[in-house]
Amino acid sequence: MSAQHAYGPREHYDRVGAAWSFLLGSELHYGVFDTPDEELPIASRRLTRMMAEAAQLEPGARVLDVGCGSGAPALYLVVEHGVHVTGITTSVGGVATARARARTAGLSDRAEFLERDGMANDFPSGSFDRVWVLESSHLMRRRDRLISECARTLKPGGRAVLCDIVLRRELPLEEVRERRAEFALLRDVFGAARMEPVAAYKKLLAEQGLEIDTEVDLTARVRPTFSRWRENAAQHRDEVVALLGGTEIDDFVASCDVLDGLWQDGTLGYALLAAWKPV
Amino acid sequence: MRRTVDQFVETKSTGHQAIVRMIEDLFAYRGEAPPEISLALRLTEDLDLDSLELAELSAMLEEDFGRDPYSAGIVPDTVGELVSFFES
Repeated sequence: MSAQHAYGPREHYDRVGAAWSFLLGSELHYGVFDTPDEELPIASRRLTRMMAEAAQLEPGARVLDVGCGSGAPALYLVVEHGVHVTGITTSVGGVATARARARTAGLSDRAEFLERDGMANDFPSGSFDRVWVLESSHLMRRRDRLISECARTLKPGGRAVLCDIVLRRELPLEEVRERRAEFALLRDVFGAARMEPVAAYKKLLAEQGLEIDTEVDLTARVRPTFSRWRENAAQHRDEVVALLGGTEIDDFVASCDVLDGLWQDGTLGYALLAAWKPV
Repeated sequence: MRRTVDQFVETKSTGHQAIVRMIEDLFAYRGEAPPEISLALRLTEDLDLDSLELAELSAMLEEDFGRDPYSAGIVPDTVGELVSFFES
């Protein structure tokens, strides 16, 4: 095994948080590109906007952001859509950064950030008008618990939106074993991820009584993200090396190549889903 | 006469002990405390090993024992079935 660090989401984000804003941009997620050479912040914001559109946000709505990272998308929603956001993450560093951002922006009364687990969030049932899961579900091992918690905490008539990396074909164990160095590198760099097919998400949402009305395949449109990440690594090499060390930035660049390859060979893709909770 | 915990550990075969250690290593890399690895535990349902962890376990077994059930086309359900493969 090549893992150099514990790779649970909590440990992972606490370790890499600061360096990742250089590599992945302040929103810490993939971009949706209109053209392959578009800048990452524009494309990342487009993904947030697509999620917001799918969420059909109304001013004053209470939104639960599951896996809120360092809070950038949550604050965008507060400012642009007039909603109240409760962001949760298991990363202590993520909560601290998100709270500081909210304070600086003068939004602490409309954006709160708490250290909680999306698979057991402890909120009362029916607390939220919208549940928002932006690219965090792949880090939650028990996807069934995540989705049941999303459904439980939604009010009747509420809406869940989710986007994430998805598995596009079955991976036989022999192939995983053969390519385990590549997968272990991804785990080391991005934390322990478990990708599922879109069909698995749809099944879980349906089992919880949610009615899916939006499904968007973003596989091709997010792919330039990897080129932008590589460029960020080259541009901010000194800052990232100071924070993480030289080996880690080289691993990051190598992991971008692995992801690009997994996109190319049809193993991984990206999807967005939205569903209503019936009244 | 009741046996002490240490005596129980000593009754495990070398293979059994090595397999328990490998599973504990997988948990350590996750950053999680391992449960007590009993023979009845199911590898995917109870221990929640994902495909990469199973692939790593398969490779570690082959390295230590020179063979492993997964490469032989056998997918053990429980820790006990895995241990039995090496004791057969």
